[in-house]
Amino acid sequence: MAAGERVRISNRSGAIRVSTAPGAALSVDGAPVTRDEDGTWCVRCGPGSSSIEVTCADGTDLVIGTVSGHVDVQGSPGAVRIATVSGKIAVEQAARLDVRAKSGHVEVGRCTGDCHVVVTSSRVEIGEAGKAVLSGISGRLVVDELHDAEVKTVSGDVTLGARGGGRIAVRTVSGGVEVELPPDSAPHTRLTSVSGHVECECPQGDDGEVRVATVSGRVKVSCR
Amino acid sequence: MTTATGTIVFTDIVGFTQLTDARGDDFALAMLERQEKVVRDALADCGRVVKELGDGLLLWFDDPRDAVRRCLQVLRTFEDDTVGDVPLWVRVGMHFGCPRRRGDDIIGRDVNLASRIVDLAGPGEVLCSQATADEIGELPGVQFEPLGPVFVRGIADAVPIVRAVPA
Repeated sequence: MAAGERVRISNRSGAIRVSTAPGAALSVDGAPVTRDEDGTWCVRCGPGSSSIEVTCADGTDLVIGTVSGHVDVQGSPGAVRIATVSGKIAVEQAARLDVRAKSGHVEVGRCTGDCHVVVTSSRVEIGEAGKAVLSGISGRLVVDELHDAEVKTVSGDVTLGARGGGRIAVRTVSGGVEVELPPDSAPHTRLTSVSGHVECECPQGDDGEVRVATVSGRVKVSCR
Repeated sequence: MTTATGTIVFTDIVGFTQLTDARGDDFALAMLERQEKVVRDALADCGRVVKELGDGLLLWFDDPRDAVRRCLQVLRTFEDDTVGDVPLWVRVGMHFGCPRRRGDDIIGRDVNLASRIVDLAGPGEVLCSQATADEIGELPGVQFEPLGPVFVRGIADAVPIVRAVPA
């Protein structure tokens, strides 16, 4: 199996586990495999809730759909797209990521490109992302290390660890926002909160941009 | 009952329940009125508001290309819009299908599917069924990004979804 091929996996309620390895052949346990006209490999579980285990080559693009089954992706896939209602999602690494979940927990180790996560009440924890585009209603959103970010949430708290020099834009209604930058950073900041406390420990400069707008959330930008 | 072929569109205000709880009913009304005004202004003569549904609107477009273009335009308007000091975030889901007509209303599986698609969208996003993108084919200035098969409540099979973004 070559990198860049696509595997589409759907399973209503059973768990989906995918692992990738350099040059690995496609191997599937728990569901039949077919191939679409466009060359996409399709793994689809019938009625019932059996779990699916897939092994494929590093760089494979993954498209995964489930209702409540847990999704666990290990290795180095290409672009990963996951949609679920309530299942827990864990992705060790991806070149690009799009995740949609209503509730549950979304955990991403590293996403080198755009990391797009849309949730309702899920808690989102991302280790490292090139650019994080996150939106939620009430779940807490945390990214340990990123370059650029666009975040919108109603009441969820947002915590971002920025590498500095990038563009960070966060908007919340009542969620608190904390942005941590490297020591000696001097970003251009525009921080507004109608009724919340705003605190910025960094000097103004042109080392990237941090824009935070919230109605009643607390805002803190620090350099450490 | 007769059938109609076209594009079923749902809009939804993100966080409406939480904002109503925090800000009160008058604020909720202001959000709804603002959403409806922006949407009606954008429809011109290529679509119609079928009905209001809580914090969303059900729209109808004969031409799916009009649906995508106008909805992207609507969301651009909402991008920096506020009601009072609160941002108004709207999301859109759509599906091309053949619902049954019941007077001015439309009903059926395709309507149900469109209403589930909007649930998957983030603020400022237009999500479409693959059927909508297939019907459109190429649309200058718009790109369709596949998001994959998605299970939605009340629909047995996974539904392929795409995101419409300005190219």
